[in-house]
Amino acid sequence: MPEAAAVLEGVSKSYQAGAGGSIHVLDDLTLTAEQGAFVAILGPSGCGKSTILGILSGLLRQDAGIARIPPAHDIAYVFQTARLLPWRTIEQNLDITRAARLRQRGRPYQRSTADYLNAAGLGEYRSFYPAALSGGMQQRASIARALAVEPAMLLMDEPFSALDELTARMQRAFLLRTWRDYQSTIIFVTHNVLEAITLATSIVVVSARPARVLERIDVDVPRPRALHDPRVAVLQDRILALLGVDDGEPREERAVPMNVS
Amino acid sequence: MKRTPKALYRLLFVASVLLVWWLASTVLFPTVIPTVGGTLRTVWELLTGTQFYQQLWVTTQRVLLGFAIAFVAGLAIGTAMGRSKAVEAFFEMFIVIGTSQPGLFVSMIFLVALGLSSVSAVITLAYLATPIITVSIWQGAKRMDVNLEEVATVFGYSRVTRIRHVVMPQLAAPALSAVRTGLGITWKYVVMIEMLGLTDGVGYEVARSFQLFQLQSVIAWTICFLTFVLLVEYLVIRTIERRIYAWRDRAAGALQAPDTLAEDASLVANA
Repeated sequence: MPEAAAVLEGVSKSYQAGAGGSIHVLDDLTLTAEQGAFVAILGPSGCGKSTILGILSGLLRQDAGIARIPPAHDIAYVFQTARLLPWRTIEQNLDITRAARLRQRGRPYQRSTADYLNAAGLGEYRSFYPAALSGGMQQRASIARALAVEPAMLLMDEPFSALDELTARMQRAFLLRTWRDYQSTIIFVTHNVLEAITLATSIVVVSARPARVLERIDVDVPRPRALHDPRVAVLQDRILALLGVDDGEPREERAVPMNVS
Repeated sequence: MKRTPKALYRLLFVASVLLVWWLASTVLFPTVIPTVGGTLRTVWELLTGTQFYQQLWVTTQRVLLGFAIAFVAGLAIGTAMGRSKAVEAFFEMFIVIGTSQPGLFVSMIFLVALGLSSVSAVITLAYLATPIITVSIWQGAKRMDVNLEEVATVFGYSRVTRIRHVVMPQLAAPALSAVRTGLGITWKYVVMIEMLGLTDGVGYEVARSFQLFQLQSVIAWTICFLTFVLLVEYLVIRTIERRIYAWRDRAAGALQAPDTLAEDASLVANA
């Protein structure tokens, strides 16, 4: 078993809501991300997945339990939308972020900004302002920004859910390629079952609020993973059953929406 | 290509003003309104002499000083109001009263209380312009992008980086509108204050001509003064504006990526 990049043990978290009431978001949640793993956290919308990422990034503190995470300067974040500085070019966005991190990490970067822009297919567009790029390119720039600080752990909060399905597919292919190249640990939050199965080495299925881990599933389907692979369909059924989404329809039909390629 | 028609319409505006004036001074009220030719001659005399520039310099100094103080105060109060509910509540009445106060009365009170001097003029101008500048900055500070703030936190941006790359660009637009409205108010009130109680400056000169019933001279001074204010707007403020919004124009204009979906597709094909 490789060393763990991040561990949450029995973590609970509540928020104050209005007058005296409180919302219990995480309940005794335990999960481990091994070094170099691609862990997908999968659960229904609004189940507190972003809170899990918040605790993993060190921005939020848990009420109870233990969080063993890398130092802040070794963590990078990709949000649901690109969140680039609109008044700085793509290249400046990366440079500003790299410069900010450089002092904290105390060791030089292995690759240049240009390397990361080229890998993201943005080499030609380095002097463009974000608004001049498509949504997919902006999100890729945002992934490039996260990778460019050469993090030990990359946290991604539904990074493709705001994109159309066709663009999202291309982004997933890009992400898998970069993950292979850079070998950092990725923790990827999503509510898209097939997205989790296509991307992850293991899937942590989380319940509705308060979030608990229902099951951790290691995905042993070889890559590239085809959606019509029967093992994918079996996994999908298992996860949907865990989440209580079993509508009794034949399995083939359920796989159809993402089967159009 | 795009500039010619715009300049043409601006010239057309000036021409129509001159036409109405000419009609008024020859046909409608020939005994009251001074002629175009005579007034323009006085303008020419003012512009080729030294008196106008001396007085304009005196007035401009008061404006710049008063505005600078107001801008610094407005920036400080406005950002504090945007960041803290307590500060916001404290200064709220100051804003409501300050933006609707009668500047003439305030000027009288200040001039009598502080004495008829350049210093009291500057203080009065600063006081009058502060509320309107504060409003602009306050609104801007309230609308700070929380998402970008989070990016800055996650990636450990230092205070300096944060201010320079995240906060200042967002405050640039409201700050520019604050410069516009703030300068507008100070130009307007400086001449009034000079008329009321000072012994030099453009306002004083105009008041003197007025007391001697020299309407032609009053108009000539006004024209010269307005021309200067226009020059400041077109040469200084518009230049700053173009620089601030460069990223917006360039994002929407020439530097547009080609068919972006095709570009995405080619990237994956290369994978």
